[in-house]
Amino acid sequence: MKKTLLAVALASLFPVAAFADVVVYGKANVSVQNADEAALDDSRVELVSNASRIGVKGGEEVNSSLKVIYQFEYQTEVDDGTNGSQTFGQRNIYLGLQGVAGTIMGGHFDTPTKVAQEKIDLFNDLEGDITHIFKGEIRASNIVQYTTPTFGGGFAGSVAYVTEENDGTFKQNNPVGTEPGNGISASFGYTSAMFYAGVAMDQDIEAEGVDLVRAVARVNFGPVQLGVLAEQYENDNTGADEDGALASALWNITDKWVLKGQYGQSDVRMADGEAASIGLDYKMTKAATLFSYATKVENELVGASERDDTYVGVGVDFKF
Amino acid sequence: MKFLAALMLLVAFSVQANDKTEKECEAAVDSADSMNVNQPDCDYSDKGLNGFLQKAFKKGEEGAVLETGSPAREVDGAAVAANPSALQKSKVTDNSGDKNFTLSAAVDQWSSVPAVRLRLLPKALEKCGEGFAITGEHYRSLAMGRIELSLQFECD
Repeated sequence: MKKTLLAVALASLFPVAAFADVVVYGKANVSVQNADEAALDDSRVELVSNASRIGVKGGEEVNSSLKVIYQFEYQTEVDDGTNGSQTFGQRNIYLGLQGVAGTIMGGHFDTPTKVAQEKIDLFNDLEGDITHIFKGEIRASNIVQYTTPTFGGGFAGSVAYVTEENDGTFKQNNPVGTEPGNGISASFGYTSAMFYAGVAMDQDIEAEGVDLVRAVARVNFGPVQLGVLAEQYENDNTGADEDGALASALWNITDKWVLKGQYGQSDVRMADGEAASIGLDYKMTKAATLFSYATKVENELVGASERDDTYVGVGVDFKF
Repeated sequence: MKFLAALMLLVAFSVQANDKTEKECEAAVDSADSMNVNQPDCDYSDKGLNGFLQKAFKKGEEGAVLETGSPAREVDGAAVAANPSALQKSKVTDNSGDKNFTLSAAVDQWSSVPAVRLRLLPKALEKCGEGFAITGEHYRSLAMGRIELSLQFECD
């Protein structure tokens, strides 16, 4: 079939107007790493897909002051093509209304506390991700969120309600014998290109009786970015009251080369958890980056929970 | 812990953020990942996969062509490299904020040119709002006998 004939056939099925406010996007991030883990007898070489995804987002104006917005994003495993038994796993998905008074949306997406990390985590989705020593990195189901419009030059806040599900599917990791409850996650902060600061909290999001507070800040001085994160975690069910902190630094050596480092200590996820990472990125094009990293994650636990893990890898990140 | 958080916020808010630089649009995937519903809208109509799909389904009288790596694309690429002003999509050509721009379309034969030219005019009016003037008109030969029509517009 000639290209022109095929194109006309397809164009007749999908009017141009349907694509007017739709953005199709994605990224493929794959790395080859050497993993030396305490749980393994010997180190091994792995090919890993780091949160590769494809999605579509867009909106349609109802009138000059109201807009319907949506996003459907799915994760795919570039390395082995499976996500458990599924080809695609759900990432952030929502449908919402955006107006002059703010935005309200519902779906399955990151809580305000998770979003509050902003760009602090320089090894996001890799072995050095903050989720290995911190908690609060939750993508909640059945979540309804209100976000204020930006005011005062960069201030905004969000509050989200994770609904109690009485359909036999418990969404929380509740202790045995407890009922699932509703959870609240909220954040407030100031954002600009040069500077960001925010605080966030989770109440009963992870489980009934579990609270978490997070404070984050980022500042950019020319080619250098510095970030800090602090977290406090309380679990009324176990009596846990833990905290942790992390610092990150990024240096744009040139417009192509980026050097970054990150160090965190936290008892939130595991006793005496510690994670240190260093990485070097090379921006081949605006969309493609060659990256490398070395990460060490360790704790003071023994047995099956012990972690004394080292990862060294190199990979490619391609955004499309 | 709470003192540390309060101290961080105090230090953070005391920093003079002299942010004169307008933030460049980040990649669509990063924009989506940020979950920031207040971020300004960016135009991804000519970037990445989205740009490809927008072009592939662009309507024009016998002008929509799926570029699948055929010689036609290589010819177009060479032609654009030789003459960067010959764009497939409208583009701001000066810094006074979208006042001058170019709209282009590809057609299969000369007899289709008037109809396609006519379709570009309401798009220009939509972009300008009040009115516009055609400041230039350019025709370029493409592969397989196709013709590219480019109109330069200046908004009132």
